[in-house]
Amino acid sequence: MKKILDNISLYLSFLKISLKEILIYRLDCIVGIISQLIVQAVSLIFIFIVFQNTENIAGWNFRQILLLYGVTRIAIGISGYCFDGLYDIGPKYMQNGEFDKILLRPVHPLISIIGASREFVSLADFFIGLGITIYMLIELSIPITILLVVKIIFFSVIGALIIGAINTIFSISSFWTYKSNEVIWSFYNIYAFAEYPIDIYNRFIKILITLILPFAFVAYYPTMDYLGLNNYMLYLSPFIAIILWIIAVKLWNIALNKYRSTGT
Amino acid sequence: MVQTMIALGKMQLKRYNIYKSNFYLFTFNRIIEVVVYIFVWQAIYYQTGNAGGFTIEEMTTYYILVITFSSFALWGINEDMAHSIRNGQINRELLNPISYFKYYFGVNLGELAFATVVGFATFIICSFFWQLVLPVNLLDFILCIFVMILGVPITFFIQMIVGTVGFYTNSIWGMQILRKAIIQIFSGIIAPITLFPLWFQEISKWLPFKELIYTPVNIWLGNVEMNEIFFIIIKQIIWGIILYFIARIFFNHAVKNITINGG
Amino acid sequence: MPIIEVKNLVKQYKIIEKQDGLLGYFKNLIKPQYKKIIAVNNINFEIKEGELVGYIGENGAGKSTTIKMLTGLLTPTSGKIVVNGLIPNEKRIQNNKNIGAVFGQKTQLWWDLPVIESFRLIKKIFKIPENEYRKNLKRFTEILDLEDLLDKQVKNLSLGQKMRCEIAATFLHNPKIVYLDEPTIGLDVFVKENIRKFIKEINKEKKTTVILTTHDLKDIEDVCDRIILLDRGQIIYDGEKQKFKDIYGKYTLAEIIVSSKNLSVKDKLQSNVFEIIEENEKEMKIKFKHDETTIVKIMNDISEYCVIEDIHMRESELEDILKEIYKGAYKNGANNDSIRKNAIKKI
Repeated sequence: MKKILDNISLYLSFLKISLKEILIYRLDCIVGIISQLIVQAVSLIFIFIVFQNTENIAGWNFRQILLLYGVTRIAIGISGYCFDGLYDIGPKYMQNGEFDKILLRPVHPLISIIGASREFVSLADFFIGLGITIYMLIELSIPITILLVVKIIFFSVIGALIIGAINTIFSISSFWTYKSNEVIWSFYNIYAFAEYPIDIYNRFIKILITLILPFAFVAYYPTMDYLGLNNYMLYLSPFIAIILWIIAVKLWNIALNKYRSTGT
Repeated sequence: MVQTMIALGKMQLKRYNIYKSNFYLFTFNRIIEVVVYIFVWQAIYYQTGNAGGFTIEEMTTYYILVITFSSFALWGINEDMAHSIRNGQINRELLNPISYFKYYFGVNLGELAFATVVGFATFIICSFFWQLVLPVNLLDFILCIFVMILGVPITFFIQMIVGTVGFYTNSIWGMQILRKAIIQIFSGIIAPITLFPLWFQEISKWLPFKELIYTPVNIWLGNVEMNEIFFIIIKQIIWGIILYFIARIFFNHAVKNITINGG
Repeated sequence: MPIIEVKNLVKQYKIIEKQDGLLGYFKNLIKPQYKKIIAVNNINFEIKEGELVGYIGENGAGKSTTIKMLTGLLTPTSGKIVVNGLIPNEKRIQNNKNIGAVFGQKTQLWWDLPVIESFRLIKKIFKIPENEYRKNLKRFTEILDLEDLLDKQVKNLSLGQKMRCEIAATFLHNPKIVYLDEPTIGLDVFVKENIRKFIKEINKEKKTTVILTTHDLKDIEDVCDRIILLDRGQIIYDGEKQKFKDIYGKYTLAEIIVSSKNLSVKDKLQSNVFEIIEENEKEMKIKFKHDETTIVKIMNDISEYCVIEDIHMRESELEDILKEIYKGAYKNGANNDSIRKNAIKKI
């Protein structure tokens, strides 16, 4: 337990340094935030266009879908800020041979990498998500009680952890592929699965996003709860986050060992 | 010159080949990218019997073609270029007896070759899962490919512009997302452009992005009149020239900066 | 007709002066304070075809700046450079056809592909005729011992292996001029020797002009015929290596191990025929010239103040001379002038 706490505090101090680093490159930061807004626009445009052709999707109306979208974005924003370093493994560390330097640190390499997350611009994601969520809660006349606020905070963090764990698993590919960031970018598209009610998918994908890559727990089940639609799946999500992280770290270690033994 | 560029393209393609897993991962990701859109439209179609004015087969074909073509419009050398600027490798590349643009155009050919392979595989795999509409005649198919090829210089110069930003910033990550998002919106990757508001359609008519994906897909589906195609080709050529000059001037300015102030 | 001609070359950089603190940061944002730095200050030299020139100087003396200007990567602030009849920064691409360059650890090899792939690409880019390419590849493989490396991915090579391949890649298209900026940095002795041997042999065979900057003076000692010595952007010596050593280096260094020494000999003993460079309780380093005195006389003098136990002598090498020059020994008084004069004479 102490080891885990140690690692977490190390991680936080890394995060502080990377925040300072990003402030140095202002231009990068501004462009980053603008680009993030446009990425948001891409998803929102699709939703708007779809609702010009229909009243509801699988029984969810425009506002409910937007709420789901907002809740997803909050989680993605948090995870983007905290776990973005994973995207750099290929281009930043592997290609420059800097990865060996990280292996020499007296810290688990995963902590070093995640800690170097510089993705300040995800905060744009987070705030847009938050804005849309609040606006839609009001529009849908859902009373914003303390309980609801606590729930949203709690399940958003859990959602971010789930995404982080999945990213960690997929970052393993960086050990062996060139241009892993292209791979990771495509995962922004996988997140899109979480942005719609799972009823629209066929059985295969339903199983995929509830059991294998449990994106449904990131936003869909929590949002159902916020909307007052009964479901008990929601309360599984903390356990899923924990299990997923255990799997992620185990897999990562296995991959790391394999990488070390084959060498570069 | 052409031989040299092809040799460079081959080099880049070989880099992808070294990591075999790239091919599977990229193909898989292409498919994932489109699945959500297709499901959403399917849900709407089953409810209302209408998918934005298309049949569901047309809509599905639309998205699968979009994703087949999209790597061709989205991939390129800007990452490699920015990387070489950042670590000073650019000094080496400037010492090649071939201009920097030609050098990277060659490398870009490799990227496009890989995009073609992935696109082809994506299409084949998708055709197992969904019923797809094929071009009615050979001419449509040829024109579709021709318009795609006209897009090559356009995407390349955009890549060069974004890559050149690397001279001024630490990473071009944000610019890359921006480039990708703009192409996604204006080229019809998100949804067929006819479903957008009229003012948007008017803007996209004059921008070069629509012809990267939306127009070739519609030529494939037989939705484009022959007389429109002439206008499209002229527009592509003009945009190619405009972007060439922008890329050139911007790049030369940046290089002049480093040759005066050092790397 | 010299292959490289440099006249009144000046390079001045404008750099933003960094200011501390948040306030300084914003000040810089609004109105940056520039500082001018003269990296190369009015240098002149000519290099003939087939020469092996050592371009040396301390860090920041302006060596790399000069090389970058010669390759056309930097534009001179003023002055003239003609390489092979071309002005490099104006006709860079044309100039590139005739030159090769190694910049420290920057590489022209493709990081994740086998070495031979990069060679084949270079063949295409430089349009090297097939038989020429084969001949060079065979010869280079032989001298640099590349046989087992060609099929390996570049990322899997060691530093020395990588540099050997890099050198081969640089000479593959028979460049007329090759600029080597720190080619031996960080390499072990065997690789260094290998590379030196290669440069010498190719120079003999193909009359390749080589300009070498390095901090390892063994490289210069081994490879170069001519030295251009740069100090704070100015040439302070330009001429034959041997002559340089003859004029400034005809002294002998002696290390004398002593005991029962409790005073500073340097203070007691004033001599104008030898000089004590360093001394401590157990050891003294001295320097003298053979035509002015002998070691026996010196030992005689010193033995008045201590007991001599052992003695090592060696002839001064390039490194010793340069150390002296950098320390300023030749910068004051007559010696400095003679160096300058010599430099001017050469031009």
